[in-house]
Amino acid sequence: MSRSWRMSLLTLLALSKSRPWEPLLVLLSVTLAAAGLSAVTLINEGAGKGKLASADSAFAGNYQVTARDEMQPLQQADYAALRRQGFAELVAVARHTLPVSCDTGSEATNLNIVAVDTFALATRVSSNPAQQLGAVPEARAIVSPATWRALQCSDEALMVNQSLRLTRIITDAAAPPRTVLVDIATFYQPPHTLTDYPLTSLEFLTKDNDAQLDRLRQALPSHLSLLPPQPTANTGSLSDSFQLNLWAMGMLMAVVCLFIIANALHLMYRARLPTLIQLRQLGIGVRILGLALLGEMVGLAIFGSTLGVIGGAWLTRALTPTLQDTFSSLFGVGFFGPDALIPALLLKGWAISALAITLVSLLPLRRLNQQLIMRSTPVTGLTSGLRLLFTLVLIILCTVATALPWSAFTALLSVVVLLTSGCGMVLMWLPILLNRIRQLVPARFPLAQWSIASACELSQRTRLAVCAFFIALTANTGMNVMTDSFRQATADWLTQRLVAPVYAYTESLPDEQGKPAGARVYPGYRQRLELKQGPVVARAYYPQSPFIQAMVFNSTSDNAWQAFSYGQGVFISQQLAFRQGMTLGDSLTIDHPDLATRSSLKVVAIYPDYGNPESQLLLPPQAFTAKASQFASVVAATPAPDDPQYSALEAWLASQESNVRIYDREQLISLSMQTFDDTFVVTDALNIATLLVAGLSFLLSVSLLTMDSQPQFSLIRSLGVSASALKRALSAQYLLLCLGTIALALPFGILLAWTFIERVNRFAFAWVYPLKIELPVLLGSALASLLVVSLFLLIPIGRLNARADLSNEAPL
Amino acid sequence: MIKRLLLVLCILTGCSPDNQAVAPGNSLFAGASTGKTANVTPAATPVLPGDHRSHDAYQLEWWYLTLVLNDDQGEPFAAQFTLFRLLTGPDNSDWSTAQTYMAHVSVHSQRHHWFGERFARGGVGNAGIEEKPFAAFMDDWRWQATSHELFPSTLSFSPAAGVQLTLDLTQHGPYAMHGDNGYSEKSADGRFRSYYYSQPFIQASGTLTLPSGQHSVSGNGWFDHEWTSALADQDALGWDWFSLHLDNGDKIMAFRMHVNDATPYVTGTYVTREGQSHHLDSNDIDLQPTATLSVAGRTMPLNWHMVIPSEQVDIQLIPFKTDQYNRAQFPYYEGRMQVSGTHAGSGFMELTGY
Repeated sequence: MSRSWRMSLLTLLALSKSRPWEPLLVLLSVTLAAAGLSAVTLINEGAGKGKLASADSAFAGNYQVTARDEMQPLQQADYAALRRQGFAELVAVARHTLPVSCDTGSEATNLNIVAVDTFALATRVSSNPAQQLGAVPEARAIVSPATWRALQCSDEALMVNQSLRLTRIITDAAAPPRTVLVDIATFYQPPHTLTDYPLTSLEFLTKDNDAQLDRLRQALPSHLSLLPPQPTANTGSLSDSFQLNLWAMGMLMAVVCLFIIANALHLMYRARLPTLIQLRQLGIGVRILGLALLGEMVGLAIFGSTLGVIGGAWLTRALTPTLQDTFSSLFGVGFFGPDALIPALLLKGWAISALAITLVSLLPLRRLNQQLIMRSTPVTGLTSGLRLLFTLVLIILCTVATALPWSAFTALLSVVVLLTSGCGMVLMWLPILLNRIRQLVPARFPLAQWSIASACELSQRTRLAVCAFFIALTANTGMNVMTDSFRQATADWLTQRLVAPVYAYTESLPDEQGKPAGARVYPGYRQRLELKQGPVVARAYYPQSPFIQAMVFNSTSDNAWQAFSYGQGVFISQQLAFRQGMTLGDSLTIDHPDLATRSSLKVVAIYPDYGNPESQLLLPPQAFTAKASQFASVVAATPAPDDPQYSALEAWLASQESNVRIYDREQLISLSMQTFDDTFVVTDALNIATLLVAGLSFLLSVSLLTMDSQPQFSLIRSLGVSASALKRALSAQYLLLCLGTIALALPFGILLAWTFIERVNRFAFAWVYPLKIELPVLLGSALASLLVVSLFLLIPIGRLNARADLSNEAPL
Repeated sequence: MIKRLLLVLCILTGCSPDNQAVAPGNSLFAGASTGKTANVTPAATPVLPGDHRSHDAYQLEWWYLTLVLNDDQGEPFAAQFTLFRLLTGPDNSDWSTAQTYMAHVSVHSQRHHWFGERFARGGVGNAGIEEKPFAAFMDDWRWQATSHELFPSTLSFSPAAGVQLTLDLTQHGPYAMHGDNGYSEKSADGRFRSYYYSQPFIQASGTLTLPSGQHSVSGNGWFDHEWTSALADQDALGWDWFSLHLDNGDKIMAFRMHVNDATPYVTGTYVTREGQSHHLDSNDIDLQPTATLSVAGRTMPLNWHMVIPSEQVDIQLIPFKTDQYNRAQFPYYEGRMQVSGTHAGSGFMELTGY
């Protein structure tokens, strides 16, 4: 048996050499799918590690002791007293935003300086105490590689606040982005003092010790409070959105590649049928032939996935600096260049691709087996009644699938159902559509009629390639509509919410003395709460002009602003509404000692809060006591940057805090939209790659089948049709096929975009935005695919042998 | 994630994973400051009780309590409380002074060892020495006297979760000044020296709480206070130190210093039960290891033979259990010893540099 199998395999390999397009297409598809999935896996792994390693997330998950009131800040004596009481798990941390420049005097950039009492951490790592206890004459600091690159320092030294020189800079991917980690004693060298730059928190590095937490709460003096850990649940931050996008595109690419492989297998087996029949006649069993074909496919899968995994790992490594910069600047988390364990990845790639290609091969193999055993009777198409019935079933299925999801996973399943149903619709209705078009063409254009009829027949013979093209195009359209809707919603929201001409960010409330005329200071308040279903951040919002005009709502009840300003109503964010199942009119119970508000408030409005992973609610300023965390908002009636009062405002703000940064409104909007666009760059690239591959597969299938039609061309040529007319007819045939697919893909693309927004985004990230269908976006997707097709049309058209050939022999 | 940040901070403070065995010849305090420090001279010998305080101008200093304890059923225990001070850096930070503190606490039962180690900077307020009344503390590990004298006092620490030692300490004899009235030379050429005195006559009683239960314990304690700027040297390779409580009430301190390119130098002090001390130099005391054993991947001389002809002392010293290794960031051996031979008793042994 093994001899027969070996002989069959060798025969198949010889056939591959003589007709290489189909095996190459399989190889290319496997390579691309493996590369895409490997890259996505490694990128998401790096992003995941980066999130975990960022300082905020390293201290997140820990309780923090902080000052209740900035008038009575956290002191070193508080720290010492608590440690003497036995709370040796406390670590003093001071966080301040300060200008950092290269030692050579470059322009300063504001970075987060995180000064940590490393001695308190010493027993948690293995360290050499002699070195640790010995004072290091040269101060050292740690920054992330992305931050170091952004600083562009030629020597390994930094200047903090134009006064503290840090040498021996160490870059480590574990360091959080835009942050300089430094030992606390080093930081508090002159001119930094505990008075001017106080401690900000004591981190309590013990988990799951309720007894110790209770002891700590009771031991705290009145001016200190114990804050619960920041929520670390996957509440859908912007980086999670990015990762989910990547996964979705990676999976889509893999699915499209599977379709391409199935189509290529179908064509391959059809072309090899005569040879396979001969092998059967020589006594080779059907099972042996099937195993030989599978063996060939598995070999291609292993070879292709090897290339793909190596390519994907190489691509990820090459993209690592860009990804580090992207994650750092966009998401505020680090990105770890992946430790691509190539052997492990290869094993996974081989296993998955071998399994996938085996599964995909089953159906074509089964059909081949039937053809080898007996002459199959022609399969008749669906009757119109059955077609309508199936269409109805698919419509009901789509409706149920999109209406029913209750989680992110079921929402993604509904996407799968949509795409599969769309494929079914295409397979059923594309030939019908093309046939109807043919019937509309007058009989005096026989070439046109032949062209359309041929397209109709091609659509049936190359179903899988059409499906792959349809899925890629639908996904492309859906993603484009979704991101365009998101972009528009974000731009509109920002434009309305950013009410002031300029914005400045300061760490504390400014002293109003010297404030320029026309500028008003609005103290901001923020307080973390625990509602019955989870944590929420309460923020103050001023119920007066211009803030009333700036507010955007999803829904409001009557007299919402009146109820809000009188302290009877509360505005909640979309995230809070979705997560806690709240609607207008519901009551919300707030119980916090640092809030002066009624315990029961009515929800009078729901507002969008795009991209915020936390649930949020708004209260009027009088609801906050002095103990709530404070920041400052300054709204100036003035100025444009060229207004004389602008410089007065700038000077006043600079006198409060050195190196305060001022952004004008347009600058902020532009920066935000640039960030938005950058977020989707990678997924756009994957999208286009998928479309290209699907288009290539589609055209290759068509061109291969076209070659089988050589006798037809010869006949047509012999009837007097010129070569150029024949090529034009073929071009029209392919474009018609493409246009028919596009016509069906566009409405599904819109439906897919709606599903992404109202279901996937809703359940994954707890917010939605309006679907905007813009004709240019739809046309853009359609034209992009037409362009792809047109470019690839050169292949079959160029290869066409338009000379008359009366031999009536179809080449293999 | 904490580990990742802590590794980052480890880089920050210049540490490096050091799980390798300390090869003979590694100086314990090589990282201490070699800048301008006070000198140890024979002219300025310790005066008590004033010199119980911290001597910040000197490079190194420690307050070292070792206790041999037994419970009501005679089950043996050992305990250690040590506060080290090192002069490590310039005094220009608003956060801390130039001093650094390291504290070790340890409890041994026959089958278990609980060890704790902490670090702190001077001037923060959570570690240091107080004079009136006397206290030596690191966070909640505290040795607290009732006056500027060391005794009576209370010792309280917890080396690990579920383990707590609380002892009342009293003295029943005078302090012992080592060397020449507290000026102690540790090498033949006098290059290595310190100010060194002990209180060997400590009575301890109290409660030891272990995961297995609570024990009423009592026993003998020994206190060492030593300070120097002449020990943190690359040629100071380590030492072997013994403090012994003989059953007849006499006390012995023996110290064998290992110096690079020199034979080990032995000194000691014999203290009678009446409290009279006389210095032992290398001609008066013979101290030799008799057996080496492997502990924590290191070969260490755990069994010893000590002979002091002038006092008719010929004793064997054997640890009450083999593994009494302090797995600190810079590890060393510190444990209870059994005395047999011409005299019986118990005590402590410390081995560094192996």
